[in-house]
Amino acid sequence: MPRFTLPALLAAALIAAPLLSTHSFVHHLLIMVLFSTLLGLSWNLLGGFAGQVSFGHSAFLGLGAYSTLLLYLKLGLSPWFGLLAGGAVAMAVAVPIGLICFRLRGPYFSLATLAVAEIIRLVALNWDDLTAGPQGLIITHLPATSILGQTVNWESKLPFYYLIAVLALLGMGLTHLVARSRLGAYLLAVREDLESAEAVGIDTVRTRVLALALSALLVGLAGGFYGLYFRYIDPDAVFSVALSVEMVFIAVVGGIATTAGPIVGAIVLVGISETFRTQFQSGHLIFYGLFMMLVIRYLPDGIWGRVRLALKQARER
Amino acid sequence: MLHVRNLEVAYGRLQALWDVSFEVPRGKIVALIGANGAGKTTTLKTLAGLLVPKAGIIEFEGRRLDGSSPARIVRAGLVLVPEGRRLFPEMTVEDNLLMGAYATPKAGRPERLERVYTIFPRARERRRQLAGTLSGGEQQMVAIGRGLMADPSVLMLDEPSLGLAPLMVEEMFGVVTEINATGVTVLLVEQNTQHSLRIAHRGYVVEAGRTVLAGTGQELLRNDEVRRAYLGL
Repeated sequence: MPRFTLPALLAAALIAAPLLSTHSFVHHLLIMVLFSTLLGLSWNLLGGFAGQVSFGHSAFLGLGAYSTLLLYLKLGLSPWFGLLAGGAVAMAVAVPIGLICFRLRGPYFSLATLAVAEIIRLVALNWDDLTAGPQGLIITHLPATSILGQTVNWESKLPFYYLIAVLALLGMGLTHLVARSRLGAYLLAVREDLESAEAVGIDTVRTRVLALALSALLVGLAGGFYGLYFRYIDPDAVFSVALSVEMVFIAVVGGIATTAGPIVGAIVLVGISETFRTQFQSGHLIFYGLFMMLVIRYLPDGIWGRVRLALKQARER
Repeated sequence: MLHVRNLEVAYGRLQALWDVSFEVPRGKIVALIGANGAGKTTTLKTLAGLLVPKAGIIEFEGRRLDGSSPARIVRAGLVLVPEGRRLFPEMTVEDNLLMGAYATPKAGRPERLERVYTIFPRARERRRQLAGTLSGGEQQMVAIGRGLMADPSVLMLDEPSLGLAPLMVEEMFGVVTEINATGVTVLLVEQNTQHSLRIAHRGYVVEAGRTVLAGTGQELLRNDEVRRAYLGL
């Protein structure tokens, strides 16, 4: 298969998908799938490739969301630049956090990420002047934008769909590049054996900080998108542990350290949530949990990880 | 070329090295021998920068290296092959070797890879295989090869014969001599006292975190205390 076939098919599918239905709930589902994909991609860069399990990724999502909305509400900066700024802020905060937390190894690093996310949540909850505390931030109006000569007014879901599609593709592209690059090999070395990686001279702290920064960039962009799409954020929503854990699930269900895994994980998990939510309300979490157990027991490589293995074996035969 | 003086290292409040001093002259094989828990591995880890000494001096080619980062120490030419091989199991043999060249300029890499494959023909045969699927002996050879890829002036080997079949042990010590003959200085930590003293130009006995005895390999092999304590004679 030529090199560009798969990405081209993917892009075509992403462009075509929302045109198959005019139902806005379908569009919402597609948006949630791609949003979750982006979350999974972000977590996967750090947790999958570098093996650094973060339980606090919502910290960066929240930073992205708050940056985007605050820049718009307080300074009037166009939310579309704000979105990019959100990614940049998340990345900028991630670097010092990484420099500190990557002195810790394995479970201690994971616990530190959990603590950092809680600290940031509490700051957001109590810094009333800046964040409006538990009230959260609301945007009532989004300015219309002109893209390619067309005026986009952001009232329907379609423009949001294409925005998140672009972001998700960006995330996949970045993951693909990292996986193929030297950085990807160093991350793998760090994951496989940290001490050996140091013994061959890899600066393991710098390598991991770089992975964290890229990961935070993606999830920060996702956070900005979240704020604009839902038009309402509060600390308990965007800085929640539940959100952090969901990112882990998306990556694990799809397949750790794969490029396509997060999209598979996102489709399956959003599908399960939405299917059972209509019938069981918050009881749908039971099915979610049950499904997670089954995956961990029977598909530890994740769904896409398993498929990829099967394809590889078939090719070698 | 490498001078270690009065090295002290502690894991938190537990002091492992009290007074370790030795010299590694250029082009030689130097062996540190001693019982389990004497502090041999701790010494090597400290030299590699994985542990930070509490006191003492590590001088390598006239430069102080104590307290430097592992990355800088590798670039200086002091390279550790860790105990238990510690390959990257899910990478191929060749990727493991190339990873060893991380700290070196791109230019010399293909030649060094070729040299490693010449020393370890079996690594060449298995270069596309995942390192985790190799036998213990093969893994040890790849681990040494990975160390050589860093273009070391001193190669530090931590228990390379550990867990190998007797024939592989012979082969391994042969390889160490061969590598040394190409001009690489070797600092060898071993429990296999007999073998290591036979190939070593110089040896040190480490006991309870102190270097207590020094001499040429032959001298130590004839030393009554060494014979009684480590050779069981």
